[in-house]
Parts: sequence; structure tokens; C-alpha cells
Amino acid sequence: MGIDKINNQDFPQSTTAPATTTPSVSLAGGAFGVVTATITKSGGGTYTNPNYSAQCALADGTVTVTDANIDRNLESDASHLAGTLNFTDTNASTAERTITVKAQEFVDRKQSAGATATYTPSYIQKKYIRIRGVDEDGNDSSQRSSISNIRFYTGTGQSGTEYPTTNLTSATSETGIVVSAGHEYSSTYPIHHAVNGAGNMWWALGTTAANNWWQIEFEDATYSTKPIIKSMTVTMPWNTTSSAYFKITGSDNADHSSATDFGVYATNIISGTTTAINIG
Amino acid sequence: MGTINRFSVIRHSDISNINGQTPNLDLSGSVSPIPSVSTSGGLFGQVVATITKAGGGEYTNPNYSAECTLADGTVTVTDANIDRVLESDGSHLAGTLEISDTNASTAQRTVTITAQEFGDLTRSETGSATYTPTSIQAKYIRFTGVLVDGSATNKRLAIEDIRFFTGGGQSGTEYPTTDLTADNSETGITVSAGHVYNSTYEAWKAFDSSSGTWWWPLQTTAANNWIQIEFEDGTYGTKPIIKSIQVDFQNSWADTYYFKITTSANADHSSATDHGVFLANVSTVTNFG
Repeated sequence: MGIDKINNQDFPQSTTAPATTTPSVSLAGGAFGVVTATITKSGGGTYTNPNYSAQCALADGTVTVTDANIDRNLESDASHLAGTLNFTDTNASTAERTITVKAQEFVDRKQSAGATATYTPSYIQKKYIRIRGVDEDGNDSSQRSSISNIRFYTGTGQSGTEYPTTNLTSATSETGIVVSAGHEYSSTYPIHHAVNGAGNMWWALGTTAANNWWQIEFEDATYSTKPIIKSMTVTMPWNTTSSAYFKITGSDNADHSSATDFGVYATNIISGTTTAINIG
Repeated sequence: MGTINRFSVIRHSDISNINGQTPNLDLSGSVSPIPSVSTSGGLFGQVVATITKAGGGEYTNPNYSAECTLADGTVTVTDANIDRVLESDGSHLAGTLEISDTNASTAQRTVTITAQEFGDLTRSETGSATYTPTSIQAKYIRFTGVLVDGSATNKRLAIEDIRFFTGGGQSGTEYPTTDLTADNSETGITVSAGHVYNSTYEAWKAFDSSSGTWWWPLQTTAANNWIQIEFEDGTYGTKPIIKSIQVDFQNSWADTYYFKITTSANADHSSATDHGVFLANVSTVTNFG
């Protein structure tokens, strides 16, 4: 027996606390462990003012990404949290992970049950790795690209062997490596400046959308087995006419046919900073 | 018939029993701590509310609901129109809310905020703070290009158009009242800049209502990275009260989109009042107030 009323006034009843509707989760990406989780409300509709808790784990329960390392996003009008989460899973395991997401509507008394989805980080092992200026949707853009430093690593978190292994003094100065581009503005901004370690840059001012790319080639004679690239860093000087996004693709063909798409990433024009962008 | 929220001053959710009888409540969960709220800003109704956890410590994964009201209960800004901010690492909501209050009333408002930690079964009680929108009334109104923290920078501005309004929401009288054709083409108004790149980008180009022309201080120093409007004493013995502005940045040739608004009664801009740092939208006309 419990109290229902005092002096004929209702005492709040909530013997069964309402729970937030369980979310549905879908995933995109996976290259370098960079994943976007999209959250929707199971059964339709949208959350009004939701909050989320999420965690990624291996099958044995090992947590690969904690809630505090999963990035939230705001709706376009910044009014509330949006239904997307971004995270980078740098755990060395190559096994499948499960992300578990719970939702809680503001004022709802209980968080939802956990919703899950799975992903497996993928890495690049290609003869040609190409960086291309694109728009947010991944379409080719003539908004010029520029790179003052780019390096590729065999380990996650910018560890392991770094490629190129030297600071290039020309496009072919390192045995087994060739860097090239679809366009360079002038000899002041040559292709190898992206990897010369000096902080000056390759610049594609005046490029067409089709030629707005830079790439590294691992030549067969030296790299009969191509290195597995698990992370990279890139610094892209920008101004407001630079491309806001770049796409990473890999191919085994000189004409870049049959390329694999490894995702679209934001340049620093989005954040307004000039720091290096580390992926993976 | 009402519902009891408190009994002997204790919240119902904190009552475990009354005279040995247990309420029919699920008491298995916790109540989120009450937020403390402070506000800053106020120019053109642009207010930042800062939320901390009353009693110290920090929320771990909080969510908020907020609303701004006048003393008579009129809602001036709804929860859906109050902007959230993410922590710098993007991990959770930060304890900052950004408010643009364009309600015409000049009276004091109260922003009321409740918090809910993820997993807590009950949201907090409300925390609140007050603010009053302010306006500008000065002889000189200056825009200076700055960094996000308000510090001076030689990163150049590039502004196609600036307009000042005596009413909120870009209403009332608009200044300049004409599209300028020179720095002093309108009687009573003089516009000037600390630096202009060349005659193609003179100060008045930011007041000519043309999106194809702009003021551009390419190669400016940090100290000269400004543009201003002067309301001359001969015409404006009483300076207009500015309650909102509109800014159209040139979307390709600016290096910073942050600008500080300062005002002064003096030609050398001494004894200036700092009205805060604002961020213009890169690609569209931005309204403040």
C-alpha cells in the first residue's frame, strides 16, 4: 500500500516511469576508423530535445571509443542536438565493433533501451592515394585545394612508418615514391611542396573541378606489396575560396579508374583553424 | 484537483515515506542538480547564458531546456530558438546557450533553465538569470576585424554592406538613409576606415547597397582594420538609437568574419565602449538584433 493522496490532493504517481523511445542507428564510413552514426526514432517521428549516450566496443567487451570521445552535432539552427554522432576508432584491433546508443528526451524519466549497429575499420592499401577538393556531398569542386604537409602512416594515430619517408626535393626524389597533381598554379607552388617538410605548399589556384587533386604513388618496383595506411595527417592552408572538403580515394590504376572512395572530410575552413587534420 | 509538488518543503521526488507509508513513486533514480545561470551581453538582444552546476562540479552529459520571458509571462524566446553550443572537443553540450531576443519590449527578461543529466530520472529545478536588451547611441560606431577572442588582428575584413536600424529586427529608420556615393555623400554622415587597399575598395563601398562592391582593407595592420560611421553633430544633435544592424560580408576576400563593435563620442575613438564580438555568416546577409 502506498500514498496516493494527502488531504485529497494527488500525490504524483509514476510507478512505471516512461522511457524514451528506442533509437535506430545506422553507420557510414569506416575508413581509418572514422565513422558517422545516424540516429532516428524507432517507429517514426523525431525526438524534440534529445540527449544521447554512446559507446563502441569489441565483441569481448573491450571499449574502443568512450562516450566522452564521441562527438555530438547540433541541428542546423543550433537549437538542439542533431541525430548524428562522429567518432574515430583508433583501437588497433581489426575486429568488428558494436556501437550502442541510448537516447533520452528532456523530461522523459528514463533513458531508452540501447540500439546497436556494427562497423569494422578499414584501411588503405593502394598504389595511388589521391586527395581531391570536393563539396560537402563529395562532388568535384573547382574551389582550389592547397596542401602544406601531408603524411601517411602504417599505424593508427599517426604512428608506425611515415610516407614519404623523406622530405621530398622533387616529385620523384624518393625512390619508389612519385607525387603528382592534376594542376599546379605555378612553379612557386609545385607538387612536392606538399611533402617537403618546409611548410610551403602545393597550390591548385585556377584548377578545374576535374583536376583539383594531389596524389602519392607507391611504385611497383619498390613496393610490390603496398603499405597499409592506417592513419594520415594533412595541413591545408585556406582562404574563403578554398575547397571546404576533401575526398580520399585509392586506386591501383594510373588513370585512377576503379577507385575506392575512403570518405569525405572537412578542411579547416569549416573550423576556421590552421592546424593539421589528423585522420585515423 | 492539484498535484502535490512539495510536502513540508521537500520535493515529492525526495520523499521516501510519510508516517511510514511509501508514496507510489519510482524513487530509483536521481534528480539532476539545479543549474546556476549567469548572462552576459545584451546588445541588440544578443545574450549568452552560462550554466554551471550549483554547488560545484560539472555536469557530465547534460541536456537543457530554456525559455526567456518578460515579467508578465510573455515568452520572448522559446526553447527552440535558443542555440546550444558543443564543448570544444565536440563531446557533449557545453554550458553555454546563445540567445537572440528580438522582442520589441525594452523591459528586463528572465531566462529560465532546467538541466537533466543523461540517465537521471528527473530534470532539475529551474535556475534563472535576468538580462535587458541594450542599444547603441553614439557619434561614432566602429567595426573592427578581430579574432574569435576579440583580440586585434591584421586578418582583413571585406564588407559589402552595413546598415543600422532604429528598430529591432531591421525595422524603423535605416542609416545611412541613402546609398552612399562617397564617404560624405549623405548630409550629416561620414564614413571612414583605418585602411583601404585602393580606390576601388573605399569605405563608402560598404554603404552603397551594392553586393558587387565592397570595402577592403587588404594589407591592413591590426590597428587599422576598422570601418566606422559618424553621425555629425550639425545634423544629429541627438544621435539615433540603433537597435539592430545588418551586415553583408564579401564571401571570398575576408580573412576574418569576427568583428567587434565599439562606440565613442570622440574622433580619435578614445574612451570607447566595447559592445562585444560578433560573427558574420560567411555566405549570407547576417542580422543582429
